Amino acid sequence: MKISRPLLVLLFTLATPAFSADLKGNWKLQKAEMTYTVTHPLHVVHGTSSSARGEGRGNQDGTGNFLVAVPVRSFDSGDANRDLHMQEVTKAGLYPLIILRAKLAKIPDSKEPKELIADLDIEFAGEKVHYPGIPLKVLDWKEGSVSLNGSVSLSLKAFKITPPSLLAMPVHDLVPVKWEIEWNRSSSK
Amino acid sequence: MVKNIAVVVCLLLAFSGRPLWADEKPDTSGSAATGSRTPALSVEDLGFSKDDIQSDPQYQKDLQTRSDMLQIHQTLGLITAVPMTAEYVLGLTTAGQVGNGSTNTDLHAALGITTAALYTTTALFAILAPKPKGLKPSGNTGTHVDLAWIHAPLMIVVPLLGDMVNDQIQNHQPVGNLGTIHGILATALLVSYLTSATVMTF
Repeated sequence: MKISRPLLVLLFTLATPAFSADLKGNWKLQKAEMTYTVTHPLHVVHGTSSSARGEGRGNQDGTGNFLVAVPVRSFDSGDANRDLHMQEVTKAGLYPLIILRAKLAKIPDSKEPKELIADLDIEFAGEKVHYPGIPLKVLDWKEGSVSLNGSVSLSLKAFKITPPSLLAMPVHDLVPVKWEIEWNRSSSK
Repeated sequence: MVKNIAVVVCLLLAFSGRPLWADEKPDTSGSAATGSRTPALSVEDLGFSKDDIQSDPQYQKDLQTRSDMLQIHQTLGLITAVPMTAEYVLGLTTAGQVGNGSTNTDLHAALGITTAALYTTTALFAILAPKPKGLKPSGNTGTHVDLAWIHAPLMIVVPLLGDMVNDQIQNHQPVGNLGTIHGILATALLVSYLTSATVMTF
C-alpha cells in the first residue's frame, strides 16, 4: 500500500483538531483577581487581591485537582485600618493564607465548555469548609490557556470569624468572594 | 491508489471521531498527572515567600491589641463628642452672660477641662496602638488622621485662649478680639472633630 507523502500529511493535518478542551496535564495560575464584598448597614466594602498563586493537574479520568492560595494580608479594601481589622478577625497572623482546593468535574462532551463544576474546599482562618458544585464560568478557552470567573459566598459563622462591627452594628454574615482567573498549561512537574 | 486513500481516510476519521476528552488508558509515560502516582499539590510549591506562609503569633497579638485599643478609641471618641458639643453651647451662653457683665465662667472652664482630659485619653489609645511597619493611613482612616492634624492643635490652642480670656474677665479687663478668636477656633475644633467622628471604619 503506497500513499504519496504530501497526501498523507494533508490527511493527518485535517484529522487533527485545533485544540482539545480537556484538563489533562499541568496548569499554572497566570493571573488572578479575587474580590470580597462585606456589607455593613452603613456601607458596602470591597477588598481585592491580585496575589493569588496556584497550580493544577488534570487527571487521566478527565477530572482536575487545582490548588490556589492567596495571602490574607494582600487584600486591599482602600482603607489600611480596615484591612488590619479584617486581618485581625480572620486571624491572618496565625493563618496567613486562604487556601482553596478545587476538584473539577469531568468536562462534558463539548469542545469549548461554557461552564465547569468544582467541589471546593476552602481553608480560611484556621477552618475548612466544603462548597460542593460551584459553577465556574468559562470566559475564554484557548489552546493552553483558560480564563474563568466564579463566586462563592463565605459564611463568617462557618469559619468561626467574629464579624467586624461599627457603632455596635456587625457586618452581614455572608461575604461573597468573586474571582477572575487565568490558567496556563505548564510543562513543569 | 483510490482504495488505499479510502483506507487511510477511514482510519483517520475513526481516530479523529473519538472524543478527545473521553477516558484514556492510564499514561505510562509519567508526564501527565495521574492522581495517585504524582505528589499532591502543595502550598509550599507555589513560590510564596516564607513571610507569606509562616504563622506569626506576635503579629496576631499586635493586631488584637491594636483592634482592642482602637475600639476603646472609637467609644471614648463618641463619648467625648457629647461634652465637647455641650461645652460649645455653654461657651456661647457664657459669652452672652459675660457681655452682660457676669464674671462667672466656672462651669465653662470645668467642662472644658473635662473635655480636654477625655480628648487626650481618646487620642492616646490611637497613638499608642501597635502599628505594623510601613503602615500608611488610607481611605477613611487617612481622612480621619488628616482631620486629627486640625483638631489636635486646636484642642491645645482653644483652651489656652479660653484661659487667657478668663484671666481678663476675672481681672475686669476688656477681652477685646480674644473672645471672638476663641469662639471661631472653638467652632473649627468642633466641626473638624465631629467630621472626624463620621469617617470611622470598622
